Amino acid sequence: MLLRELRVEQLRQFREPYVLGALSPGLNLLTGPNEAGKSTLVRAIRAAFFERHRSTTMQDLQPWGDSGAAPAIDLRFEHAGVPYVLSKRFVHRKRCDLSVGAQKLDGTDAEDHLARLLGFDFALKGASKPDHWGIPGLLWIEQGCAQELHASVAHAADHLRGALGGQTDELASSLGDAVLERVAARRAELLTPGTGKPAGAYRQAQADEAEWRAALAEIDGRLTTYQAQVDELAALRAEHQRDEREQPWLALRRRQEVAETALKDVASWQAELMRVEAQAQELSQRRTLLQDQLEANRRTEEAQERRVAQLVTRRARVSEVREQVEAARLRAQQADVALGAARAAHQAAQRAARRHELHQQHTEALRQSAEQQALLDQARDHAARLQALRAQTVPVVIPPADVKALSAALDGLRDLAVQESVLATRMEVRLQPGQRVYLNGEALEGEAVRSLLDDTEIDVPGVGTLRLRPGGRDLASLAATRREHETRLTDLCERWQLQQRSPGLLDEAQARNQAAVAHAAELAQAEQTLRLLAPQGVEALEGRLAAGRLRAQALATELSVLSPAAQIEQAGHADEPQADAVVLAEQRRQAEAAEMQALREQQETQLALQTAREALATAEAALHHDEAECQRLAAELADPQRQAAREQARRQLAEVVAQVDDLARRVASQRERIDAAQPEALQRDVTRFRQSADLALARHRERHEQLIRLESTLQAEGTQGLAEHRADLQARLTQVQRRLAEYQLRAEALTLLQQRLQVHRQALTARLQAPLQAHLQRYLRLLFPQARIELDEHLHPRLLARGQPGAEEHADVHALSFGAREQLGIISRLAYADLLREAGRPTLIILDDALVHTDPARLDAMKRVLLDAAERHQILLFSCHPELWQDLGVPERRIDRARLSAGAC
Amino acid sequence: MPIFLHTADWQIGRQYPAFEPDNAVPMAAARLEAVHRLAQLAATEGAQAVLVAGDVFDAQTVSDKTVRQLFQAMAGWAGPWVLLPGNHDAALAESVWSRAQRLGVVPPNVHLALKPEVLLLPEAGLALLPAPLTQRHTHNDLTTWFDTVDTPPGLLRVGLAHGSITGILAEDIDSANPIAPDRATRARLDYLALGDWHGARQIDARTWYSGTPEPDRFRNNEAGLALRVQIDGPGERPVVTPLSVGQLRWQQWEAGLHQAGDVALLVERLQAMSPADVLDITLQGELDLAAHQRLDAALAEAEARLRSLRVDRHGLRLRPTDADLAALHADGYVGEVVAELRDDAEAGSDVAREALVQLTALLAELAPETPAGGSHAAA
Repeated sequence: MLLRELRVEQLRQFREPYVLGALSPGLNLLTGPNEAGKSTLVRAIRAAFFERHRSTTMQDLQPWGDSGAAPAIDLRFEHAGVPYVLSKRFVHRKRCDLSVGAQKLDGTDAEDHLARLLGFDFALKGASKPDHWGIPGLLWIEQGCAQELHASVAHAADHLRGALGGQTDELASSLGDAVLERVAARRAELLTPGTGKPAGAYRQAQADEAEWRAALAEIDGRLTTYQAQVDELAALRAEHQRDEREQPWLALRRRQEVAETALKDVASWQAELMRVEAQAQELSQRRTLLQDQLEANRRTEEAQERRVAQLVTRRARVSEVREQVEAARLRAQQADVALGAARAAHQAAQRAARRHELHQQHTEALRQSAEQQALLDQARDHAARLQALRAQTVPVVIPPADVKALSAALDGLRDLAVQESVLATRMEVRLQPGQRVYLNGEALEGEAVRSLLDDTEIDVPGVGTLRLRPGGRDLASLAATRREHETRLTDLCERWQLQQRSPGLLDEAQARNQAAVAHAAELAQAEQTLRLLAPQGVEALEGRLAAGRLRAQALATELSVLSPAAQIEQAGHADEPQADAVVLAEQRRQAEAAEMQALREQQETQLALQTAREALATAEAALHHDEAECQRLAAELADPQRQAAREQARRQLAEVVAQVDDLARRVASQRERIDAAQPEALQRDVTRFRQSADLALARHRERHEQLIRLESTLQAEGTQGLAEHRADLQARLTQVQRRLAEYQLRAEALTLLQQRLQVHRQALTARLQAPLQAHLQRYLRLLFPQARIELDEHLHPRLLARGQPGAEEHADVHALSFGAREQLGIISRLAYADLLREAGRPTLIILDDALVHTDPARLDAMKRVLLDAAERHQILLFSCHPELWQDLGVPERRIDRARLSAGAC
Repeated sequence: MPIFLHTADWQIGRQYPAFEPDNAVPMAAARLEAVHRLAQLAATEGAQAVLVAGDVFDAQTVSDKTVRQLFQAMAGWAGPWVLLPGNHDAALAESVWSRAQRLGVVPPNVHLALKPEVLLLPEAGLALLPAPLTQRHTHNDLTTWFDTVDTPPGLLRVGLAHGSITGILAEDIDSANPIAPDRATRARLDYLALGDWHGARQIDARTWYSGTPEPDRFRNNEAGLALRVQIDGPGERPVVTPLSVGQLRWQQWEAGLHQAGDVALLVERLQAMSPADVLDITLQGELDLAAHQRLDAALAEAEARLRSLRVDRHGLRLRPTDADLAALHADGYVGEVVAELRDDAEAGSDVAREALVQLTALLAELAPETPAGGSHAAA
């Protein structure tokens, strides 16, 4: 198909006629800025074909605001060498004329003819929609829609299949898809579509099979048990009957009785043995008794002999000890005498030393008394002086503040006096002698001068009274001040007993203060001195002196008592008291040591004497005891009764010994007899036979109970109809297993069928798509060298494989970038166009501002693609980016409404 | 002139788990029905006794209901019945017999031969020597004691045993309980009534297996009979007459199907079968689609009509012809799949064969207007 010319009038921005003519067979580049009318021209082409001229919804074609406009579109094109002229007007004066070569068509006929030719449908009602657009919808790519392929391909599917089907009719199966669908549906009844696991009745059959199989195993187990129990019952019954017949416990009881009898005999033998043994025991005790008696006799005789020998020794000992006592007594007397001498010497030495010591102490005491007397005299003097000081009258000290106040008051009065003398009313009186006037009661005579400060009454006798009132406020104020000062002065003087009128009042106060201070200092000094002399007071000093004197007196008394001779001796040696004292002490020590020595010796001799006396007493007592004992034993041994008893004991002992031997022989023989009978073994036999009999009986009874139990168990189980139940289960299991096998075979068959059908269908699809694939591959090589594209069964590009064969990267087309999808969208459409062209269908390709998202390298490749396609198809490429397409090698046609609308057509 | 019926192997309580339930239940019921018929026969034949030589019950653990049903079925004849325990119902310590006695369902005219001791039926003119099984299996000949026991003169000495005659039935016997082949002679028996073998069989002039009165397996061995035994007096030769009792006929066929004619023949045979038939068919060969469909139709019809029909198709192959496939519109890739499956099926794949059947069925459904088999049937 070759579009030659497009003319529009009263159509949107093209109010005036606009002609786009001289379109070339290959690539046409139509450029213009936004709003220039590119899209309007595309819309015009679409409206001319897709919209019924009678449509009532075409107002959008009218210029804006011009409801009276009748949008008109005229197209001239060729197809298969036949020229077509289409002229259409919408909204008003609706019209459609088509000339096909010499043939003229109009109205709906013309429109339907075009639809068949181009491969699209009309909307039954209203404006045309994408699903009606068919082949043009696929090849006329709207702005920004190149990448969206699915819907467009779907709407053109029949035409595309038609184009392919012309070549592949023979291969296509008329029923294949329906068969495949039913196979899938039937398989889904048996298997889950995803995992292929048994489902529905198949799964139920599996579950049933497992259930019946388990149930069958269970019942088989019960049957086995039942049979085993029947066998057990038979065995038990046989055993039970044998026991009933034989009664084995009776034989055991008999053997038990035999053993018991034997055991009884042994027991009687044992009793006899015990009796004999007791007898032997008794005799044995008697023998011991007799032996003891004889032994005691023998020991008594021996003791008597020993004691007689001992008496001699004891007497020698007594005389020896007596001599020792005498010697000791002599030594003790000598020691007493020596002690008396030593004691006297010691006492003399002690006295001499004491005397010397007392003398020294006495001398010291006299010296101390003299010193204390002197100290006491001094202290008394000071005390007297202190007394005198304290007795003096001490003026009272005036505090410095009051001295200052006094001074201030005096100063103030002095100042006032000066001021008053200035201000006061001076009254000079010169009276006649004898005459007298009374000034405020004061009698004035002769001449007098007075300064008046206050109201003054002058009484002139016989005349009357004159009242003077000194003028001026200041005077009154001064008087007040003066009274104030005077009052304070009076107060101070009264407080501190000063002569107010004394002229040296202030000096007096200060002198008084100085005198008080001097007195206080003197007093403090006196007190200090006395304290040093007598810290505890004078009375303490006096006491101490008295005590010292008393002590001296006591010492003197002691000395005199001690020995006047010694005192004289002492006095003679007074010049060397020190040496004398040392000698005396040495003498005293020696005397003391001598006395101690004498005392020790005396004590030792006393002790020796004591010891000797005690030894004597002990020896004498032992002698007496032995003598008495010897006499007693001699008497005892000589007793004839005792002699007879001893003889009898000897005889009895001989008899008893003989009897004991006899009994021992009897015991031995009895023991032998008992051992031979083996009583423990007999006892064990009794137990064994008794227990065996009991056990046999118990086993018999138990078996009988077991029999009854087993019988009832079997009776109960027997009524269950296990055999029939089992057969029933077996039947069900067989059924379900047969069904299961059928399901399994059927499921496998359907799976196989589905797989085979799909494989063959895919192979067929691939064969059918081969021409389209070839066209697509041709463009793809220009865009992505070494890439392959796979189509799905709806003829969409599905998978893009890039890279070397064997190491290809696969990418789902939907997952590619927008740019890549747009590029693939365009080359797919070009491939469809090739396919349609080969099938003899008209192809016109319109690209409205496509590939704006394409990078320069890809855009270059796409240009090659477009130029390649342009050799077979007319392509209208609208763009608002003329600079992108300058290297296409085709003239650029600018759509310029203003210029072209004015130009001639 | 004593006459008695000899029967055995009733196997009451037997189930048929290998069969469909709606067939198995009537088949089990037929066994009880056989007992009813035996009672009728005893009356009509003027028998003095009915001797049952073992395996009266199929198992020890049949239900109480089954036990009751048996004795009720026997009530149709009031003469003496003698029941011998066999290997299926041995007189064990606890057995179906002790249960029947406990239930109190054994009427006085039914004698349970539970012990190896002489049983006298003077009215019937019989002195019976039973050899009951008291264990499930024994390897001793339980009939040995027959030789040494005496019976009142004037009464027929009739032995009753369950087991296999040594050396004769070694291959096919049910159990290993041996019986000496010359027992009848050695024990001076007038007749030895045997059970265990399910078909009627004569061993010698005085020794017979009666077989089961109602067939229960496909082996064709004179099953479904009872024996009428007439012995004119002690020492006289017995006159044995087989009587028909059984209802169901059990048959096993093998059919080779290779062409349409084979199918037609089989269909004819099937049409001749009755509701008393229990049929087992093993099919072999290969068929085209049309013949296959015809076979299916005939088998479905027979299955509904017969007591039971089981078909083993394992050896049968579906081989659709090209014409079949064309008629089914199996063109395009579906045609390719059909061809492939056909090859696989011929190579022996059961799954491929089933897949082919499924596919052709689907195609027939989808193209119903095409009479797939019609054109081919003429060829």
